[in-house]
Amino acid sequence: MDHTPYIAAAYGLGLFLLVGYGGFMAFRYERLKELQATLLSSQSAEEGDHD
Amino acid sequence: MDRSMKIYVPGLILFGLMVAAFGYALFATPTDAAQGEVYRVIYLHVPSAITAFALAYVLLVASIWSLRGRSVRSEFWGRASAELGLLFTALTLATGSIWGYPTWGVWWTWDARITTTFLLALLYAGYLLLYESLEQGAKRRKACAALGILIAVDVPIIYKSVTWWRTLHQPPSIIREGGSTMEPEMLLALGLSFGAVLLFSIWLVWFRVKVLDLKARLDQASYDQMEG
Repeated sequence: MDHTPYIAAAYGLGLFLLVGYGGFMAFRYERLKELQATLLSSQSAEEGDHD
Repeated sequence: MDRSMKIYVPGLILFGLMVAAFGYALFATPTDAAQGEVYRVIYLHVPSAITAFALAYVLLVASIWSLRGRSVRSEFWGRASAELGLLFTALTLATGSIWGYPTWGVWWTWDARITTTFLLALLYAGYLLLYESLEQGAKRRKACAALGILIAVDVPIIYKSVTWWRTLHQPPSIIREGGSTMEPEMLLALGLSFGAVLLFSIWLVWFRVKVLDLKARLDQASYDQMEG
């Protein structure tokens, strides 16, 4: 019996889950950083208006 | 290199080490005389299982920290370890199933080890549902901490399940009286895979905590801006 498909399925699934999770978290982190930068710039623009 | 990209360097190095450890396990270890090539799934299955169990203890520490210190950061550590714990438990069950079919002839059986591991997955999922369904505050902190402590109780039951009950799953073959039954080369490959998976999972938990922390700070800043 050829076991290669079983081994490939197990490692393929493992790497898919780990890369997928890590990649998704990196995407979220970068997106949040962008939002933080937008928020900070809008706050400083508001402060500028008050001045 | 862009300064913001430096945060990913340790994760990429640890991921590379994990892939290298899997490569060693897949191509440099001998074939098992009884099971044939399919036994190589254990170099992913066993490290995933031990990591899922280790994360239950990270969750336990975070839960106790949460009850004693009342820090929001402890809740983030609990949330992150439960999320990764669920991922590794799911991977353990899936790889066990993939190994089980050519070995036992079935994809799934309600064996004591598999059932208690499935229970761990349900408990991790329950923790995440509870966390998401409650507002941040004392109620969520206490409820999640209580469930976090309960999850850690399941781990020794999973470990002892193969000796307490008659199961299809094999008994311990690494830590046992009379020493390990594995070949030294196989044991080395398993140790390398386990170390690499555990270190990468710790980095993933740390990174998840950073994402949760940033999200909370951003929510607070947006709220302050609306109030102002």
